Amino acid sequence: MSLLTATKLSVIRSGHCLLRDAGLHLAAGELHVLLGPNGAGKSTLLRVLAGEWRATTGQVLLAGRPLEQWTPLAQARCRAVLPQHDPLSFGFTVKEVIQLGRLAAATRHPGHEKTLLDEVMAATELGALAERRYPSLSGGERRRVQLARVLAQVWDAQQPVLLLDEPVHSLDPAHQHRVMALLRRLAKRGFGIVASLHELNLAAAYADHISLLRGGCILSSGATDQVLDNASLRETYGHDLQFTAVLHEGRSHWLSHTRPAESAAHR
Amino acid sequence: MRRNRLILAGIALTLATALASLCIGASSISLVQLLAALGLGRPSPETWTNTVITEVRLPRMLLALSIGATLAQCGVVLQALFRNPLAEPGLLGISGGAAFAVACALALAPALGAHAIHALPYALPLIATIGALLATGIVMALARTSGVTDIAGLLLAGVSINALAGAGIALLQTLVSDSALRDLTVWMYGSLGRADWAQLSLGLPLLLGIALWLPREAAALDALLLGEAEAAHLGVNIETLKRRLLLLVALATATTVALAGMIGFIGLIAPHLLRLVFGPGHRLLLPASALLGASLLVIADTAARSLFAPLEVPVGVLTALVGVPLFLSLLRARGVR
Repeated sequence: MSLLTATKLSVIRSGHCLLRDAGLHLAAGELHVLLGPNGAGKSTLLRVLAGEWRATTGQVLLAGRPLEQWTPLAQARCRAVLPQHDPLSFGFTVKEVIQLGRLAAATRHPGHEKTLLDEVMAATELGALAERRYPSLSGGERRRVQLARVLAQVWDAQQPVLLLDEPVHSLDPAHQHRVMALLRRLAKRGFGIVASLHELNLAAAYADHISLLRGGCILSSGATDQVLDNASLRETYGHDLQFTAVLHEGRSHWLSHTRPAESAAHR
Repeated sequence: MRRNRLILAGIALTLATALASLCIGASSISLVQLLAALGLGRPSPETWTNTVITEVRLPRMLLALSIGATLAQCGVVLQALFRNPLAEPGLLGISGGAAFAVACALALAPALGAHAIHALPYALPLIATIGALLATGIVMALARTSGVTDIAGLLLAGVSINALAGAGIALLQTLVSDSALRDLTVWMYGSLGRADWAQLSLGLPLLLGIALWLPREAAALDALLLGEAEAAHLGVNIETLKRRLLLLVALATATTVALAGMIGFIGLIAPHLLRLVFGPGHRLLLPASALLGASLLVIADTAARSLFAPLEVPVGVLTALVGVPLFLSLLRARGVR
């Protein structure tokens, strides 16, 4: 069953082609990671999938129906979106921010809401911060709170879709892994998740499916092991880089490095 | 539960302030005399005191309550729309636009004949609304660069519109030396001195309408604080929400200007103080701001007419004296982005 399907998406904004013929297919239970350099079109693709931007050409189907046929409320009940930037500067408590995610919920029975909130806070390990004011949090903590808000939105949905733009941005390595492991568990529960990342190794360790983007195009897309190799990564990030896989406990870990001469020159 | 108790406490405080304001003034009136005049105690033979209460202080107090509450709620809505606690009807030029429109109407009415002068008080709110909407439109257009509303641009545009409105009103004053225009300064600095029961018939429905409507928007306003894209992803129809709220704010602000001129900073002070204590959630902030704004304006107006009695200070001058330092400290604390 396909939760989200995009075909031949192109986006042209102020004369720039931000996305060209991009396609994506997201099944329930799948964690799909978008990799690519800055400006590759990851955020643009997520925005179009989220209905935030309209594609110049192409179509997005949510649970088999074109996005245009959905009301904003119906979309919000099955799909939550974590944007890259977060403009919240007002002093809500952490708990209040997470509760804002429940705005679209069809029925809000107090008992159900309380259980749900507790589950989300436990999953995101935010219990200790529950009463803290949002503006007093660090960048990484804010990121986790916004993620929790997004999770709360579709926690009890039938076929939840998550679109996450750099969910581990400004998180420390331990929290990066915890968040990715959480996404992994959610996928197992039936969530369909698309997330953009800059961390190759997190993608290698947790993703089912990876799409490599560059210059608005999807260069390659497929199962994690099939997509990640030196040639594709150089194609994606630039030929002045080298990528080496290091095997550790049966898993590939990717190192990126420049040629020795260039590294020396940088020093 | 906590919310209901806080709101009840707010209502009690507002009522106490309002009753006190009836007793204070150029002539002091005792509580016994007050109750008598309101028909709650032994009928009093002092008809003069009765007249002061029922024809002067009572309508004035009620008008102050409704305008204070309306301005404070308009401030709350604008602050959510622009995600900035500095947004306020006066600072954004909305009041300025309304005041200029009112001044134009006052200047033109005599030329249009007796009918126009007669109909003027009823047409003023509408005329002021048109002025307010125009000013809002201009400010929005100036402050929006590539789809993002920038607060520095917003304040600059507001300052410009206010300066333009002030200049326009001054020009009208110079050109048209009609008696109707002599007190045009009233619209520049705000005064509740013209309050009577006829004005109240406009002011009170406005207060009630807004106070009853806005709580329905509380959840959407909360979502707006997260950001426009975020609110849209939560299922809020952003474009219609913004249009509805801006229209509502323009209409409400304009009506207050038509009734009492430009009174600044109530919409800044009340929500700011309340957010410090109760946080930014609109379910509590909207009604609490209405109550605090109402009390603040009653206090300011009572001070305005008693401090130098029998002279009267424009009430907008007093609200500015309190509001400007707060505005500057907020500006410094947040930095202009």
